[in-house]
Amino acid sequence: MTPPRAKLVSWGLQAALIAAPLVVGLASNDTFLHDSLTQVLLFAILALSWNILGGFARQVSVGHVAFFGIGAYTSTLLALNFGLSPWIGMFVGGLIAAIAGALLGIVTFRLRGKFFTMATLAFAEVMRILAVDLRGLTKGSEGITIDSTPNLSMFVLGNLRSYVVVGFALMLALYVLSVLLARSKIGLKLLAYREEEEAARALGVRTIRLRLLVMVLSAFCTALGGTFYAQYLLFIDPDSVLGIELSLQMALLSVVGGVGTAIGPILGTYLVVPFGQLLRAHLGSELAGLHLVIYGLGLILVLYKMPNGVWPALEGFLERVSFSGRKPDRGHPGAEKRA
Amino acid sequence: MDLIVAGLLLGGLYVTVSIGVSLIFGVMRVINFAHGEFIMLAMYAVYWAHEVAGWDPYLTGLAVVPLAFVVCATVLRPFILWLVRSSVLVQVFATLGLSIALQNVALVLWKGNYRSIRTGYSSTLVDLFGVQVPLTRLVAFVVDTLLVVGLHLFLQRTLFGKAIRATAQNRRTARLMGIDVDRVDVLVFGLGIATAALAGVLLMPIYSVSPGVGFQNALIAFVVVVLGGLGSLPGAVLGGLLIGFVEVMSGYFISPSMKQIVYFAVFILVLVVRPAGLLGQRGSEELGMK
Repeated sequence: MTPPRAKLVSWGLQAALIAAPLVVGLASNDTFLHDSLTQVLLFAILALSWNILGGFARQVSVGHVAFFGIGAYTSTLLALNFGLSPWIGMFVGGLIAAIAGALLGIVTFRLRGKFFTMATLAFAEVMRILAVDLRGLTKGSEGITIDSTPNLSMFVLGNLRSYVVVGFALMLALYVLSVLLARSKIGLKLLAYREEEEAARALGVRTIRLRLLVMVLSAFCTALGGTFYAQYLLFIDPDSVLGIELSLQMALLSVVGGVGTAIGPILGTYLVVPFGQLLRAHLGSELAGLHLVIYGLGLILVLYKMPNGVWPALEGFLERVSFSGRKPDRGHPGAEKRA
Repeated sequence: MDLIVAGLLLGGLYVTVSIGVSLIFGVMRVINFAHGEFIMLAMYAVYWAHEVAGWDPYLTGLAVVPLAFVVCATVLRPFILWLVRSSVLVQVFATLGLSIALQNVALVLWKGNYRSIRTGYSSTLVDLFGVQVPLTRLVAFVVDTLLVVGLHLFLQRTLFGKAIRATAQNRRTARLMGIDVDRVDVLVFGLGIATAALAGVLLMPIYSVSPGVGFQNALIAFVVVVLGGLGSLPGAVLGGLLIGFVEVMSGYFISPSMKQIVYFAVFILVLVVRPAGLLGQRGSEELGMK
């Protein structure tokens, strides 16, 4: 049992972490800051979406960029060809991504662990190559530019602060979804599934259906992030919205922050994305690529020191701090014997 | 006939690119995402030896391949041992971190432009069964074949090869039999990377090199090994040749831009029909090969 004080501190910390970008974004007038906040929020959205499948079900996907790209392309193409507002297109994209997720889930239902990981990688590459080759639909590697005249109903917000607000709303929604998911009956089933699949099956958990469900949910959320990205940058091309690097980034943020926790992906994003931005700002101009060398090595170091991610390590620390200086819990079996 | 020879030659190259991934996975159960970066580094080594000192690419190879092995067995030793003991997530992202770091070391040092070398025999053609074949590709194919045969003999006929196979089958039992599993891991990783270096040496006279070239090769390698069966050496050979053929055939009969689509389609098809890969151990994918 987590002692109540540690739990309180933990919840307080989480609330502060979530609110921070909104507060900073509203308080400041700096466009550079707004830009980097929006990026942070976007990545937090993606990391949270990835975490639904990669964290709660422990199915490591390195192909989530496919869903992201589907989201970005669907809403953009619908707006371009049919004048449909991306606010609606966003959810259409989400649905299509969910269907793609279901198909991928059905195709790979027999694959476990690393085999599943490899299959997702191939899936994402197929989507990227398709986007490059289907020139008639996607304009290939030329990319699509979205009309940048500010227009609220077409999700072109004009000022950066509004993007911070929208990004924040999405992130908050996904965080709440994650917390609810973790506490629901499905969350318990997922816990059983990721710890020991055979045992979960033996207890009557329908694991294949469960994995499919989480995959669909995760794909849907990722696609929302795709639309947000497209409407923010107002330009998409296969390499930027379907490049494999982005897939890896989403997964990495959760891994650094702590997979399978609701706040982990957010914390991981706060740590890694600004770090990358700072490194790029200071080193990028002198030596292209040096910031990524440090980034890669930093990643290995974090994984070495905290294989479960930063948040679980932090929570463990909180627990230890609140235990010290107090007598061991009475109800704790064996506590007195040892003392 | 042209197509068959072309497919065979390309397939042979893919085998060399992939066999290290398969070997490392087979024994250590680690998917090395940084595999391609070692290929890339070897290509640069060959490039610079040729540009600066005028060394012949293949002669440089004689130095680069053992060097790659030694570096792995010494400098990377703690990294390798940590990797084997970590969870899947950590393995994936630690090797990815290594991949990002190495790729960008190359970018910092040598910039992003494509570089290629020209030697006296770059455009030499050889007549093979009535088909004109570039000498460099033929050399690559011969070396590929030797590598496959050599590895096979090493694994099947030597005592150390037996230790490797035992470790691949069951680590705990292997340890109980007195096999130094740590040493096997380090040596297998070194061997795998040495084959990557060899692939780099063979590729350099044919293609150009840039920091991103490693990842493209790694992607091909992943397709090949999953297709053939992760961890199965004959599988990697079959997968490599198959992908080589598929690429050449679809490039000729359908359209060059579609060839990647076709082999990814083949890949997904195999995953659906036979998830363990063509020659993989059946059922291994369902256990996740823990």
